[in-house]
Amino acid sequence: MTPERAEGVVASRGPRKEDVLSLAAPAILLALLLIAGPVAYSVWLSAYDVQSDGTTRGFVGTMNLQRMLSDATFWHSLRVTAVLFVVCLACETVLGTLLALVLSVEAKGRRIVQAIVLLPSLMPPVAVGFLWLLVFEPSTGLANQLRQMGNLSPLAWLGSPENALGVVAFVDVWQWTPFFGLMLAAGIRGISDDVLDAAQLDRAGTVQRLVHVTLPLLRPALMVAITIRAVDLVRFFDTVYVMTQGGPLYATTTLNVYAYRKAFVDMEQGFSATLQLAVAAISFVGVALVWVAGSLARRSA
Amino acid sequence: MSVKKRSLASTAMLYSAYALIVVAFGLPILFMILTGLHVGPSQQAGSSRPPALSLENYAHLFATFPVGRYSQNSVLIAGASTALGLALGTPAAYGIVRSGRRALALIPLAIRMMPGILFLLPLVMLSLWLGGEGTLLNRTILVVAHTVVTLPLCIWLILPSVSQLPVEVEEAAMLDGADSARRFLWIVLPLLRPALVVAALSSFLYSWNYFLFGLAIATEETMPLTVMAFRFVGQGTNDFGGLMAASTLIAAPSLLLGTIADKWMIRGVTDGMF
Repeated sequence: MTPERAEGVVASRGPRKEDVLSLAAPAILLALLLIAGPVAYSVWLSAYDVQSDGTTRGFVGTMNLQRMLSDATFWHSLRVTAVLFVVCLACETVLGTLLALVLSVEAKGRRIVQAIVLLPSLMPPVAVGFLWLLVFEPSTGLANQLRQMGNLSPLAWLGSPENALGVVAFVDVWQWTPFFGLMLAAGIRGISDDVLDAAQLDRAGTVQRLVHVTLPLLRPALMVAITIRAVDLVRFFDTVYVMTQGGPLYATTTLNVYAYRKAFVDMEQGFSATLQLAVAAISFVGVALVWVAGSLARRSA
Repeated sequence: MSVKKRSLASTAMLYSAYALIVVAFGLPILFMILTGLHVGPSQQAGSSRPPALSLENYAHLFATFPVGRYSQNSVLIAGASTALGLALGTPAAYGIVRSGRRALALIPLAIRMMPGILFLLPLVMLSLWLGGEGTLLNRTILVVAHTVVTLPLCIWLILPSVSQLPVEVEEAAMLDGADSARRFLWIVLPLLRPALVVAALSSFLYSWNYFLFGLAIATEETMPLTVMAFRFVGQGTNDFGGLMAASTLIAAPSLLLGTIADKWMIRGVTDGMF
């Protein structure tokens, strides 16, 4: 009997199914509470425009929502988040695929290289932020020392509104390209050699094999990696908060950083809650879009 | 990919790629560790010899902050939230798979999709409502907050291993009339050991690394190590050696686990969402 069929038999025994389900109940209930509680609370904060001292201004309905939609900083932080989202996701997908192709080759030393690749995605974002803060420090940092070696004038990096966003994106790509590399390498190793050997017998070249065999078979792993990163990029916070706190002049203020500042610096709880709900909504819509795009791509392939 | 004789050219290409990867991802981390072990330029002005390795930055760090207490707090929060995540998540993974209702696994996933701040204000208010300033209360709130990180991770890391277990292993016990809780505890749980190790290590690490809840909720008494490093910068310091020593300290679990338990940690990164 195959496992699936056995599962079917057990499931069909009626009461046993509920019996099993009760084991999942505590975690599912806690999860539901952790979702419904904060969302309901935030809606209340937003609709009653609660102040930091706990007093409310009474029911204001969608006032905070309207304020958000006419708030220039909101649209600016949405744009910052969107730029980081697109740039980071694109770079990480492309570089991560290249990394995965290298890591999937069986060779001496692969395990050590893979262990080093693993480190950035395991490190605390705070440490990663500090590390690159030092590299991009204008007077003594490595980045400007390298520029001087190439006879280029030093840059202000994180201190300049033009460059700061680029540095933040670079740091994210450094930390999370390895994640794509490891996910996809695991995916490539999961493709059976028979398939690749068959392609080779068909005299497909290396590039053809890559485009027509390896990459399409990698789509599930790629979808998972993109989804995970997409969710984290919508709520981009840690490294940017450590390195710039959103500055200079809002240049790196993501939606999440803006929401944090509104709640804990400007003490506007109600408005911050509105921004947070927007981040959550965008995240859900974003994931839905990624999955729709993924299934459309599958259909057209 | 199959192991075949490679040409000299492709071997050279492979190892240049290796070198590039090691430089890109390993060197910055080495730079962090070494800077932490060097004394900053301000303290060794006038000396022309290259700075020797020293633990001075660490000594200074331990003298400035109660590093011992902060580390203890980090271990406590990460440990307790991992225990909670495993205790709730493992039976949940089993229940979800065996009941055939895989869609239920999307609920913990939805937690992962919410921005961390969304949990912050309710938790701050809850702690005020429960009586405010107590250290034990604050710790409890921090542990519950970190469960937001560990619970989805545990469920999703254990799910694949449960689905790979054939129901046959439970059949004998089923005929003996053991209910699902007993079958889970005595038969399934021991078989899940590898997945439990992966889930425990990953949960502990990501909980240790998580920064936002400690930043906003913790008091001086309950503050985790990650927030200490942040305070360092808040002081407007340009003591880079000290900053890198602090960074190395908070990155220590990740660097240790990544090098001595790389096989488990790679599974933690790649197994999670399948």
